[in-house]
Amino acid sequence: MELSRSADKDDATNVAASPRRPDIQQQYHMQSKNESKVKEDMRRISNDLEDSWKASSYANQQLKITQWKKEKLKLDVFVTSPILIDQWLFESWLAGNTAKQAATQRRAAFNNTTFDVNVISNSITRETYDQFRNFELVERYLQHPDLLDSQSLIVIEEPVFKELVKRYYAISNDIIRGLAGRKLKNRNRSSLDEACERLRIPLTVARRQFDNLKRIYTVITEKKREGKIEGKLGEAIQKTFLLPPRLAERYARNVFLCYHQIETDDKRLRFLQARDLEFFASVMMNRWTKEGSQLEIDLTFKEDLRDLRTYLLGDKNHLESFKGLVMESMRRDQVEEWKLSKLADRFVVIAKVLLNIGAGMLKSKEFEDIFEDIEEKVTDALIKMGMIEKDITRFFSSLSGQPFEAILHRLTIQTRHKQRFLSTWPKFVSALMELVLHFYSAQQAAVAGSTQSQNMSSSQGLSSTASTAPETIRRQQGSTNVLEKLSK
Amino acid sequence: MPCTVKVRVIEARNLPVMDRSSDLTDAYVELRFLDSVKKTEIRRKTLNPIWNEDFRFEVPQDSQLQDHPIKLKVYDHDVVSADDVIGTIHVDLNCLLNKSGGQIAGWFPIFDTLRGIRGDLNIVVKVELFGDVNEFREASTGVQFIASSKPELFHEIVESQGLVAYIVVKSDPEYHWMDNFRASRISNEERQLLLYNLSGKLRRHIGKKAIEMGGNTVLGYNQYFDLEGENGIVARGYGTCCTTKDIREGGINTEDASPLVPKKIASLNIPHSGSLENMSTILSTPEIKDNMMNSSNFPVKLLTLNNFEIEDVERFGGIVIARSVKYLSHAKSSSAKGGKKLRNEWWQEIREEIRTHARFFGCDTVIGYHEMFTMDCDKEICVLTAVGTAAMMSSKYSGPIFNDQTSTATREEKIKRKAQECSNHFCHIPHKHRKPPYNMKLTLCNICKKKYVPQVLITSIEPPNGISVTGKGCLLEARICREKKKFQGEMNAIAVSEGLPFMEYNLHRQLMYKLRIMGMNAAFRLKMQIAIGESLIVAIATATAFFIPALPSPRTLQINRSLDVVDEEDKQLLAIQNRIVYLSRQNQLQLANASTVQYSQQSQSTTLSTTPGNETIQPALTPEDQTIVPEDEELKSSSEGDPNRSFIVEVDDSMDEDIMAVLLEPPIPHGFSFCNTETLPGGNPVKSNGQMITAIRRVEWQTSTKRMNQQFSSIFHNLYSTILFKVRALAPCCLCSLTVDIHLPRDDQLEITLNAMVVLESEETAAEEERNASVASTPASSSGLFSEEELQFSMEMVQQKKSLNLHRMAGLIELLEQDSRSNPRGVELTPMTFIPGTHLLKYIGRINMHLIKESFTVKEQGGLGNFTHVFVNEVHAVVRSHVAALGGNALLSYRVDESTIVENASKNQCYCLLSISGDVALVFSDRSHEHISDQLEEMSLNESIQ
Repeated sequence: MELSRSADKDDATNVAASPRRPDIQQQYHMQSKNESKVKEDMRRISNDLEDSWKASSYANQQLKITQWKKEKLKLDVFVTSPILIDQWLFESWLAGNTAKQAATQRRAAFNNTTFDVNVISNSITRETYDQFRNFELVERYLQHPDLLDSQSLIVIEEPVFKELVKRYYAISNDIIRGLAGRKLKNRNRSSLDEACERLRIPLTVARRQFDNLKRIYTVITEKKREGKIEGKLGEAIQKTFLLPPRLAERYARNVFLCYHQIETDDKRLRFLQARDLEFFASVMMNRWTKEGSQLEIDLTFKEDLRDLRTYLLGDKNHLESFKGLVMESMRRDQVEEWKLSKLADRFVVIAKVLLNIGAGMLKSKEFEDIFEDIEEKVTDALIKMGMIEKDITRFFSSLSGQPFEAILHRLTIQTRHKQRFLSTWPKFVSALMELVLHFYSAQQAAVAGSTQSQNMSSSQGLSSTASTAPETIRRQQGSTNVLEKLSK
Repeated sequence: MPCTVKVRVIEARNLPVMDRSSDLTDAYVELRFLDSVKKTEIRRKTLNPIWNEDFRFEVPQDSQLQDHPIKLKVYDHDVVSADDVIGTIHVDLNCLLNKSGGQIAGWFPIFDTLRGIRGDLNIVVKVELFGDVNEFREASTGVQFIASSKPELFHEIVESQGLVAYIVVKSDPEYHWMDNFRASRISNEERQLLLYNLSGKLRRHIGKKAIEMGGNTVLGYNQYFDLEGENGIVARGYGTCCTTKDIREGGINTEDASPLVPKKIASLNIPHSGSLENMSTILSTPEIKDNMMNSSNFPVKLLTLNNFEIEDVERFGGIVIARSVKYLSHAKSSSAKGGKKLRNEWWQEIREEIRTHARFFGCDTVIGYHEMFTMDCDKEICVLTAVGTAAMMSSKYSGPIFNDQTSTATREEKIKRKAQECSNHFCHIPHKHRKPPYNMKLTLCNICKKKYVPQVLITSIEPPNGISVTGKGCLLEARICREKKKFQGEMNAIAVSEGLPFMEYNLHRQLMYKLRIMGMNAAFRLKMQIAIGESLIVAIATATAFFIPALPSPRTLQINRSLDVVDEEDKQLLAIQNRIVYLSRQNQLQLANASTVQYSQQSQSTTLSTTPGNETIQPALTPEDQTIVPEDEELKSSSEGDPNRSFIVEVDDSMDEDIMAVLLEPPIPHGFSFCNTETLPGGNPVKSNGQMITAIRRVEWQTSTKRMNQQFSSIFHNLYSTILFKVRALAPCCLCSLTVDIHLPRDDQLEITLNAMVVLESEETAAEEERNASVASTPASSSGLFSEEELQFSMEMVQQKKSLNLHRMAGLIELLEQDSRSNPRGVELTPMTFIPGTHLLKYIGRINMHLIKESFTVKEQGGLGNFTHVFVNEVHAVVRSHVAALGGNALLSYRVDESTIVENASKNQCYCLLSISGDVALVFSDRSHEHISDQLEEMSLNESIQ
């Protein structure tokens, strides 16, 4: 009797310590007579449980009263089978954070949730470390997703894994722009620092993108050498690297640019965005190559163009009469006369340029400069004549249409050859038209985005001059949006 | 029995680059079995070599196959220098020996002890046994080893003969004199091979014993390696020898299984020898030795089985524990053979003690029996522990009745009769209530009000199938930390053995207090762990607590404090104290309102037991019953309590305070639950397996503080809360089959190894409905192999023994086998004996994997944590591919038999050893089962048309 009474006294003295207690205590005494009261009490208890993450702060309180410092972990390993991947932390890892940084960010992210960060702070740190270990384990298979099926180290569902791969191979436009058409040598890899600093992208992220492109490049060129590529290049990448179709296609285009080391870094080309370059690559890959070997321009196609140049330039009259026919056809299309007169002055030069571009594809050195040639010698020349989009369209369609057939008719060559040229030339010219038109609109957009187009274009890409000011970057980003819309 | 082993080395893939100049590898494989060595051709300059070469080993004795694995070693050929090792694969053939014509085929990770997994090798291994039945053979092929307590599908236990155990001692290659100068890779590989040899030998000898005893299966098989340092490695194996029969055939499988009288394994009186001190206690009955009153000396069976049907249990006696402290230096000088003899004697003593304890309870069987071995960090002294539950069981477990000569009825009839009298008859005490073996409080059974029951029931087994449970169970864990004076040698052994009873007492006290705070009156699956440091002894006891309606509801806890409140800290302690008292009452309230359900494990034995109808269903507590408890409570508090009814904890000094403070467990967040049983009694219905989790944590702690116990507990609390946080995405879920190992690598460091299965639960509301439904109708069939009708169908098939049906069934199983076979990544690992949502098709065999990894560049690999993380993952990969190669898709009863992690930070070096075992099984999911039963129907339709 004595004992229990004294215990009750203790209770009474401590009511103040825990504010929730008095009413519960009262209820506790009353409830047994009233069943509904019991139920209410039950609800209270379950509410208690619901709040239990918070309630487990109780454990922390208990910690505080003790004299020892926070326990020191010498080793903490947590392995799940199958593997657990936290998407949030994965994203953080991809962004190049260390586990420590990620944990700090995570704590901040938990601030607005129902969790009490003080309580789970330690758990967050531990989870972050576990997850980062998992990521390191998975990384090898992210780099070689085709190995996923032949390994037993990681148990992961394929959709989850594909999602991870997709994020791992994500492309940032600024980085890929700097890599397009480059030799993927380690020297270039180390030169990424500068660009990263400027673009405020973590170096690890840039390096990963470089490595990703290089890896895909290596695998694809290896496969090409062995003749193992079937179908389109994008499909091959999609299959080998388990990438979503669009992303695979982007990689295919960049691989193409790198394979031919097409110059994209010239001053005149700096206004081009990654999406533009990819568009050019896709036009060339789709129009001028054969399926199954999309990496190389079709050889007969290139030879045809070389031969055509030889024939057309063989006699000066050929180009002159071609000019007359084209003019006539364009006049019929109601192109303004002042433009036509300007064109008449420059036609032979432009035609020669076009023929040279076509024939030059046989020599890789000349093919490397194809973008420069198109920009400088074709697009700029046409724009200087005051031509706008529809004029350019008419010009190219008349180049490949009726006038070309007529001039071909006049050539003294075998019909066999004529047949060849009849299919090759329009294929060449129509693709070229798409390129020029895109150049045109890209240029227009660039000009619209910045009055100082010269200044702006110099801030493009990796090799920009040191004088680049932050404002121009911002302006350039504005133009990027326009360009991206256009390229879509 | 002579036999031929055929090995086909097909190809390898993803080999590492071994030649820097060409970035390629010139690989070949060396096959080694005992002394014979064979090699494949060298495949030059490729990372994916293809060999397609066949090899054949002729083995004169199949016992050799049991003892030794085939070792395949992949090398890189080098013209100038010696060939470099790429990695090794050990293929244990034990699983193939049960039937001729079996094969292991598949990709095996090539594992190197220094570099980890380096590619995979595709091989096929076949064993051809010649039929040669020799009475004196060395081998013991044909005996099935299963870690769980249940036999295969369509098999049932006819008789259990009792404990089979064996010990092998071998010197440890790590401590060989050659280890001073040979490469670490070589000694690692030698150690791995030795562990394979040891586990093979153990099984062979235990199998032989089982055959001698007339059994054909060893259930509840356990195997442990005690790495005693210079004394060598002691491999211990023990299990329960059983005779099982295929209920489809109605005959006993083995030809030599005769209804033998069970042979006693232990001769009864082994004189003490070599041991210095022999200490023993029975939990809760320290005075039992004085109380020797039972003169009869009937034999007691030790069974390592954990899962039973409620019909099999006649009476629970209580938990029995025997401990013994041994001084290992005595064993040092003796040879391996002497060491084996010595250890055999040690264990025999312990087992005999357990038997004696069981006799005090008047029980002739000890179930849930297991043995433990703990060494101090100097490997000088060790503590042997045996724990079990004394019980009286049905005759298939206990055999004919020994102690009850008056009754002529068989045990089954007796149980049945009792079941009619009281559904919770198993709670009744096994002895007369007027003369209990020791002083204990007894009350009348809540159900029948006739027989006496104890206050609480603690056992070491899983809750039997069909037991009624009120409310929801939860994990119960008591943790004690005790200081010990530092001593050397024999003095140390004395100090430990003197300290142990106090620790045991405190552990038990804490267990009881916590049980009361929870408002529970039963704890199942009690497991204990102790660790001995230089100046510390720590111990934990883990169990799953729940409420059995037959037992009296526990008295609420009261704390009497005679200390003054002086400072801030005291106030907080007082707050804790009040909180405890409050919780204790709340929990009781909560339980009073909970409904009673029948517990059932998911097991095929439930549904395949011969008579589905005889299960007596315990009706839920009537409303009156439910209100009785709180009314009692009210009465008590109004009358200001009689001291007998409320449970009083005295807090007189700081030590008491320390122990009191740890009684409060932080609440477990909503949506999670913990249990160390396979399913949570009274928990929500389980949906499917989530994740198997393995956590290893090594914590540095302060050993000088007074609050050791609080510190010890908080380490666990932190671990649990971190784990819950990490699996929060899986909620609602239950962490089942939780096992915790503690270890003191150094005095100021505590290592906890935790393994559990996160089982996904269905949403609460649905659970509630389902539970209501199951209470209303048939609780037992809620989670069986087949639904009720199907069950009857399959039962019919069995009973009628239509050969046609059986034939069809066999065909279906084959169909299912093809269906379920999958790649290694589809293999599930689980510490439980079943996978929720699936059904066991067959046990393929038991595998043991022993892997070692060592590194001399730990920092570069991201530290010890990262290294261990990778290693555990690699071990799982190796295990999974072995399971898949054997044709299984799950590893049940996954268990870590031995784990060692040693770090030498100054040398940037670390060493990990993991030994893993489990039952390879083929399971099929409910979905594919539906698919199959559709086919079954179709087939029967077709037949009827014909």
